[in-house]
Amino acid sequence: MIYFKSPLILDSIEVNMRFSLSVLIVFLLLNSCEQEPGIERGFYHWNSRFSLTDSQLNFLEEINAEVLYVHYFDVIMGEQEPLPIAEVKMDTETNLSIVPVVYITTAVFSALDSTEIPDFAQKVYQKITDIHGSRALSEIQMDCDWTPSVQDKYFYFLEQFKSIMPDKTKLSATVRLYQYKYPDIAGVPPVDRGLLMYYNMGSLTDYHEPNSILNNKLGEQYLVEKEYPLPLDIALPNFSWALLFRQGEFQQICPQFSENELKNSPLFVSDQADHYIFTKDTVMYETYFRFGDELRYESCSEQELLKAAEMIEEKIAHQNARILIYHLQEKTINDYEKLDAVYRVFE
Amino acid sequence: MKNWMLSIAFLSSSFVSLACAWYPYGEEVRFSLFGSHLAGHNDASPLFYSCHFFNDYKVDEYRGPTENLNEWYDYFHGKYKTEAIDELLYHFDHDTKKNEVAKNPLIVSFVVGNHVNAAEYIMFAKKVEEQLREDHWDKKKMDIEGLHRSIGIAQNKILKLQDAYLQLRYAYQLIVMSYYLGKYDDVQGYYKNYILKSPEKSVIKWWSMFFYALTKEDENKQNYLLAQVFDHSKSKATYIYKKFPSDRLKAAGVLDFCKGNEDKAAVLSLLAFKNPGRAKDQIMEIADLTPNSELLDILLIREINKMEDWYLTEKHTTYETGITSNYFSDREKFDFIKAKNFQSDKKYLRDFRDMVSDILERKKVENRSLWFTSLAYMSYMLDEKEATESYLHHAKKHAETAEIKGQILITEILHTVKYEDKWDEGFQADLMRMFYGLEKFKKDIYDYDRFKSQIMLAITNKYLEMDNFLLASLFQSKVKARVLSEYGWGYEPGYQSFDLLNENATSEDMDEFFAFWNKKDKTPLEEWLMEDIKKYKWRLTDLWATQYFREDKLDKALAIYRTIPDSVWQVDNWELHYYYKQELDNDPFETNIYGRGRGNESGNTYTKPEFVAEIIRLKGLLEGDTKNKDYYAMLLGNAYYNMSYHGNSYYYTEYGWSGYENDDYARDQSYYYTAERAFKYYEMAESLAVNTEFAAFCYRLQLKCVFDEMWYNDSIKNKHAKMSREQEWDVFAGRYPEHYQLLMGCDHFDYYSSAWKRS
Repeated sequence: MIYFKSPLILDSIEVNMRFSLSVLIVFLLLNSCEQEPGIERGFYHWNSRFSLTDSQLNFLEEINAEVLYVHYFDVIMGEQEPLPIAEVKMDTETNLSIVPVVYITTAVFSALDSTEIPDFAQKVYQKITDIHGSRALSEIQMDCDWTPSVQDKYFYFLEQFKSIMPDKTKLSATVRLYQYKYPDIAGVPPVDRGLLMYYNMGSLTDYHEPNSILNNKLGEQYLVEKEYPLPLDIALPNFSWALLFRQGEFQQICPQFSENELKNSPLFVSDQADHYIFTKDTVMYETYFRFGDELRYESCSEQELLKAAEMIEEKIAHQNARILIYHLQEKTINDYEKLDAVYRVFE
Repeated sequence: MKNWMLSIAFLSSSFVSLACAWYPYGEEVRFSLFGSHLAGHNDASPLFYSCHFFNDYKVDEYRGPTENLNEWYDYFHGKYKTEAIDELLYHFDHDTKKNEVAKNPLIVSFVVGNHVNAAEYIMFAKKVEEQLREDHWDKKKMDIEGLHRSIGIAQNKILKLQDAYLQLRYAYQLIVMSYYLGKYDDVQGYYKNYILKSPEKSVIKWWSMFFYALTKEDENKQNYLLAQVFDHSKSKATYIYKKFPSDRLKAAGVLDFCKGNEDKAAVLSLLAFKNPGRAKDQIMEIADLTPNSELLDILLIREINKMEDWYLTEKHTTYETGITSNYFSDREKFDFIKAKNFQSDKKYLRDFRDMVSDILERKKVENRSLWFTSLAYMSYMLDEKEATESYLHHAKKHAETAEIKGQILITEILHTVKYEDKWDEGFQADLMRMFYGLEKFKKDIYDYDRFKSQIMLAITNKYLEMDNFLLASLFQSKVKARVLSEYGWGYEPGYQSFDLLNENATSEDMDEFFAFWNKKDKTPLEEWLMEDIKKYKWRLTDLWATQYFREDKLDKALAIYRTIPDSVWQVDNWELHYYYKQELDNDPFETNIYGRGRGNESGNTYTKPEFVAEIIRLKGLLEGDTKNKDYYAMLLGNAYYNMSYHGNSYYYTEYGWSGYENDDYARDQSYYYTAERAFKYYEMAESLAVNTEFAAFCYRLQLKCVFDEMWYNDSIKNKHAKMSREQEWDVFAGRYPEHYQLLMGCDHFDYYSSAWKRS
């Protein structure tokens, strides 16, 4: 699948396909020449199978993505020791640069003694390299929503991990918005780069939260103009989900519902934007929904994403930064125009 | 093992369930008085109803499947306890220390040469387990060479051994090893040549079929075979449950393989288990095919447990939803939804009960005691007195097991309390007899303490509905902390009574409570109900006096307060669930300019009796012929203002600060949310003021009361706030044109508050 997103190109293709393809190539080349030196486009991949379709591969090529941050596994605290779960299965080979990402729960660092951390770091590194195989390994990313109580142990883990890695491989860590705003309180992870996560900023469980994924009013409060002690890459969201509320109380995330289904099914009525109320008891997706249950559909509109990108571009130093979109899905290929516009804000 | 399976199940749930913002929730508060364990042995417990994916009933009792442990128990002719067999088979692993292993009675027996072949088999199975094991961090991989060697050993053993029991198990090991080595043809060969030909009647055959099924490429055939395994063995139930199609449409191809009623019922049962909603029609269909299956019995109980959850959890635990900041704006909508769902659930409960009754009449149901007990319990839920009694009568006739007898007694207790309004000795004796009777079933009722506490909670709610706060509080004291309810979470038994009375009781109710407390000839039941609350005597006495204080009946309040030892007011720890000394440290007569939480510039503190006594004294001065009446009136205004929601001393009459009026409280709280009493005394102070400055100041304090009311005008009755804030200021400006501007802010409060001195 080829993506023609410029109106100019769209006009051309109606006249002459061959001509339009040449224009496209020139356009893409010009487009890449226009980019600020150092800005790289990329995506997160957060599924247990790294199995990209041809459409996705074409899309990545068209949108000039250079890097994929691939979730390799999570680490949770088991009964006795940390356990890797949700390990990715690498089915697709790609020329794009692959950065392994490991999500570690804070419970792991709460439970581990400092003396156990070097061995733990070794295990995590070994597991990553086992999955990564012979691919080039330029960077590894750790994702942990560290809190003051585990900060010392997490940072010690990062130090240990870095000491195991080859010198040429960089270590990066995710930085949540409050960790960015309050580095004096939250600390700064001892890594080569940070990745600012500009999403999941609202309260998922709050019935009155307009959009917990992307809420620029909230996000703006954290985007203070300052020099963060680490060079930062930026991640912006592009996903959707429905959140189930029963009598105002959050129940669960329901990722299966599409906006189309919610808008067009007679099963729902809507009393406010993005809120869908069940009109009868229903079993769907192995869940029992009751009359009156409410789904709040949350997504990332182009308008809000651009607003977010513009705020970040204005306030955060982004030279040589990677701009990542969370996360690459089958339906992402339909969002070329939106995502290209977002990337362009930084270029 | 089950813990591990459960954790995997939670992690791999198709929906991502997150903890709610408000705790507790889900299983923690689910109300259930119909025992999930009344059908199906321990291995079936993940199939019992739960708010989560799987039930964790008795999850820690055994590590291994009971169905296999029982076979080993019989194999050893009962010589060794099931626990010892469980320990050997499922507890010890390669990390277990040798001295721990040596203590196991079976090992001891093996060492002296008993059951050599069994010992060899168990050691072999342990070795295979280790050969198959893979470390989470990939440090230990599957031992492929070792497994090939073990396959040879197992084949050899099957040929040499004469013991069909062990032959079957070696064959099972062959199937397991071959499966994990990816040798599916071998799995099928071993299954046909060894398992199907074995004369043994064993669960191992079904476990073998499980692996055999997984080698089938045809998904429908595979699911059909798995359904057969599900029907006969519960050890693999969680895996099969998760793998199986979720609805009938998707399972159509599976049903095509079914040859008879049992086959079809097994598939339909799986579909019914996968239905988290109403499964009445599915249960009917299964009952038509196999009215005597264990799966049907479990499904019957599961459906009752669902209805208990939908229908009773909120009623009894009061953990309703909607704990959000703007809850009030949505309350009407939620109440409507709740009421509609309640009626709908009640109708479904009745329809389901009638269907169960119909099945029992038409079909030859063997487990009649369970079905009649179910009917009795559902009729109790439906408030149908005669039907409950009739079904209880039938249930008793058929009851054989202790579990069923216990369930019948529970239903009888609930039923008896529901329809008895008197509290006479005869009724109490009946109740006490039943409570004692229940103790006999302690071992047969899973999680007995929680179960019993839920009975107490149900009884408490019956008396709450009758506004009988005395009996409600007494039964509430018997709800153990693990049973979560509005009054039960996090407290030791007994203290919940205080919360219940604090929220509901008037001074008359408290009089009644202490009349009961002081009654000399208590019945045994009454003594039992008093056991856990005695230690809170002074705390409850404080509540008694405080309720009079709330009602502004000061003489009575003071008299009761004075019975409390002075040491109580000095308590500065959690002994009485209250830090009296810390909480009563503001000056309640101080003019409260700045708002809640501030106010002790004078350094004066008062215990509760001292405070009440001072109010009485000031009121006396106001009535007499004395100077400075305007000032005294203002002080009284201050005292009442400070006891309100906005004041600095709300802890004199409330035991916690609440930002919104709680509709669940039966007692009147308006004195706390409005500053009505304060307004009256500020008004009086203005009228008595000896100069305009002080009159203006007292008017300003009245305005503060009015504005405070406006702040909460959604939830309180506005008696004084009849106009807008701006209009109020205009009136103030018209009335005291020289002072209103100076009194709009706080800068001149000190000057004006002392104006009474400048006569």
